[in-house]
Amino acid sequence: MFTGLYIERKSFMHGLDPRSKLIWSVLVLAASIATQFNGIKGIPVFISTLMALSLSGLGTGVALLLIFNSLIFFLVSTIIWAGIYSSQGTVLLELGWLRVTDVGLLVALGKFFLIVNPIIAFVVFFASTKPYHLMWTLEKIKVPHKLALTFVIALSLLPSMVRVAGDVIDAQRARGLSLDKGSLVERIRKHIPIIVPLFSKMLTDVWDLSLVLATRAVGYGKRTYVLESNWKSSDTIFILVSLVFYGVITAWGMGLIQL
Amino acid sequence: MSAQSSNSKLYSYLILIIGLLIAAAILYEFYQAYTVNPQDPWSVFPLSRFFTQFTNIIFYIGAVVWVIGTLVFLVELAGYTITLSGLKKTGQGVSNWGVLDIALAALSAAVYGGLLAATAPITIVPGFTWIRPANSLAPLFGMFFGIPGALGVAFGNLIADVLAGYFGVGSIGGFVGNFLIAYIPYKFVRDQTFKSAVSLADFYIWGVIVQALVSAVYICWWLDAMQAVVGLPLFVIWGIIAPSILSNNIVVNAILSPILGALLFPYVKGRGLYWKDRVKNLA
Amino acid sequence: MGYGSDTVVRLREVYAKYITSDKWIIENVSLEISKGETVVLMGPSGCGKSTLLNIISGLLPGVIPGHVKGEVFVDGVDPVKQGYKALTGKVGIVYQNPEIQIITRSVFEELAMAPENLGLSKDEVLARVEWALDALGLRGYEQKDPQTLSGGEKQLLAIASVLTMKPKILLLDEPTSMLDHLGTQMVLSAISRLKEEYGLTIIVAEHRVEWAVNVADKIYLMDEGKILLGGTPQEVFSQMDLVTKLGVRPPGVTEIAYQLIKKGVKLKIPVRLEDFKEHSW
Repeated sequence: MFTGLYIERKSFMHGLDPRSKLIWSVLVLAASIATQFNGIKGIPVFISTLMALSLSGLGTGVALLLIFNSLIFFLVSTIIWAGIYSSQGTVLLELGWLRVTDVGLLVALGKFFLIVNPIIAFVVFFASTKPYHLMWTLEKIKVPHKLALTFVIALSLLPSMVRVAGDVIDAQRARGLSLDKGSLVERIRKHIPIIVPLFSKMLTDVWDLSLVLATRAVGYGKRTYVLESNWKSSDTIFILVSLVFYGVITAWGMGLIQL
Repeated sequence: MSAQSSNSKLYSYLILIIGLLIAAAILYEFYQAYTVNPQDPWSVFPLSRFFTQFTNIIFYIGAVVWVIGTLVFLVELAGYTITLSGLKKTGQGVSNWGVLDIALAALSAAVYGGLLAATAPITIVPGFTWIRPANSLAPLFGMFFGIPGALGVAFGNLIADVLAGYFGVGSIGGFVGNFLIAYIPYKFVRDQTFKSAVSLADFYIWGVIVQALVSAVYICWWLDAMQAVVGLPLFVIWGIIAPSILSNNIVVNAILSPILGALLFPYVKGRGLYWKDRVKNLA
Repeated sequence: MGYGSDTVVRLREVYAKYITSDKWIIENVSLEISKGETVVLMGPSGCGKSTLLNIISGLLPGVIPGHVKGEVFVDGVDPVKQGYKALTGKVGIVYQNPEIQIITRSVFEELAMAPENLGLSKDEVLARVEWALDALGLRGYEQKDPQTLSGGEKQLLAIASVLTMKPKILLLDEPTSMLDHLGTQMVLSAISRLKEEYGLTIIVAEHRVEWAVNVADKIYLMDEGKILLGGTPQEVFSQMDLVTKLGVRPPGVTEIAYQLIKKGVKLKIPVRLEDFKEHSW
């Protein structure tokens, strides 16, 4: 898990305008939708997201981590799709009630990529876009300033809350709290000594944060952005290449062209 | 004490008992299903069988819930609330927010999302359903802090989704769905102190049962309608995800939320953060 | 009622309490602060120093719900009647915990935040950031992640990010209480420099008395929401009985001098080592 959404790196993806990255993420989604019934056609999209991950300095290890986190759920979903299409195509595998055909396998793979590809694309977007530019991008797409600011502040504060929660859990464990023992009701109730300290901290932090926002003139008027992102030639090239690549894949996925 | 108020107390106790019985029944039925078929409890669990058999009806009901839920979300963010006599200003719309509202929303999101990310779910059936004690804060954030708290819950769940690698088109449904989990008890629970029988009874109706039903239907209808984009089979949406959301939200909110609510409300009130004390224009 | 043209802060018979308080937190406080003065507020914990600073900044009752009565004028503005936003750009306040005051990912972003929120032009924002970097000795730190800074550096950043609004009055609420010795020295030196080089009006709640007597034009001792003693450092610390009764530790040289006076030595009470050296033996 990331310690925060944005990860400081000097990479190709970090250098791109957030708008071009957002467009790219949407193109990945569109191509994944178009190829969901044939996993073979979804493979190039998957490979392109892995390339984007390495171009953002995050590495393919992150992709594997993301996929692994949801592995059981994805596998089950994949098996179910294979099952739904088990009456179509040539049977490849039959184990009792489990019957996998070539059509079923292609659809299952396509649906798997439909889930995984946009996840990787949006992880790349958030991990390579500074909160400052994220706020700027949100305002560019007409999200009200106060909502954009709330989102960005929450993004910055969440990692420290995760750390504090971890510290509280460790402290309570040292006092003998065992979260994985007992009946279901007992195990739920045992979370009270974890939730209450975090909530108490929040009640103190609320006043501090609101005073700091007030002293920084938040909500005074229309905000200037000094570090506006500039659309560069690399963004134009990136978008053109993406439009061509994902456009061709989308058309192929929809059966409009044969490759 | 008048006859009317003692009737009202009796009524409240009755509702409380019924609410607890429903929660207990759901837990019992799932336990039975798991005992009968540990490999695939969903095929036996009455709730998921109900969902699967009546998916068409559920879809149309879900569409209505979705439209109303989305409308309520947008209207409240605009600073109005729907009442029997029409729209009324609340003073809690985003354009009315001061620095305290921004801080409340941001910290609610950080605490809620942080707890979701930091606490491991209690697994019931691996990969399928789990209980998330952190979810018990969702109705409380709405009841304590109003619209900023409810929006904080929505943001917190969204950010936790991104961290866990679940972010996608489906997260849009989760965003408004989580807002509604916090919003419904804020809007309908009359006494939000958790000190009286009326307060508890109201909470069990709106903060346990109704929000769980509404959020499960809202989120799953969105996943169903966006099936072509999200890629989840119908059976998974209505047969697994819907009962999971329903069971998790009912169980966790029934057990934890009232305890936390009674514990934490005095501190919220004592710090001047309770929404009724802060907001100038009340509906 | 008018006041001297040099007066930037004037409180007259001010009472204040928070919405959750039963009794007044500030009781019948009157004071006047002139342009360019450095004023130090001292007193035991809970005596009302922070509340007083919040009143002067307009944040009580502007952000923190509460009641304020009496006359409050800050740089020609009545923040109680006109709202705290009327003081935006005129007053800046820095709190004790640097962690909660920093919310961006780089020193530059943190410094630029306030002038950006004011809607100033890009050139003006950049000019103010450059000025603040130099004023607080943060040149070279522009691209650093604030989380990698030391406690003292974070507090300097917090001060600098408020100064980019070019306030006339800087309020500091126990800015060194959460810092180690090195951090404390950094921040107190920076405040001294701001006074000497930029002529800012500074009001600081601080308990480090050796620093206060060297920098302050006036010291106010508070207890239970009231100002019990106010004046130049010499005037305040010449009333040793009251000072010690309030739990305020006087400067070391003052304590020594006081013991000598009790033994019959005739001395004017010093507050600084230099004052002590004036006496010939």
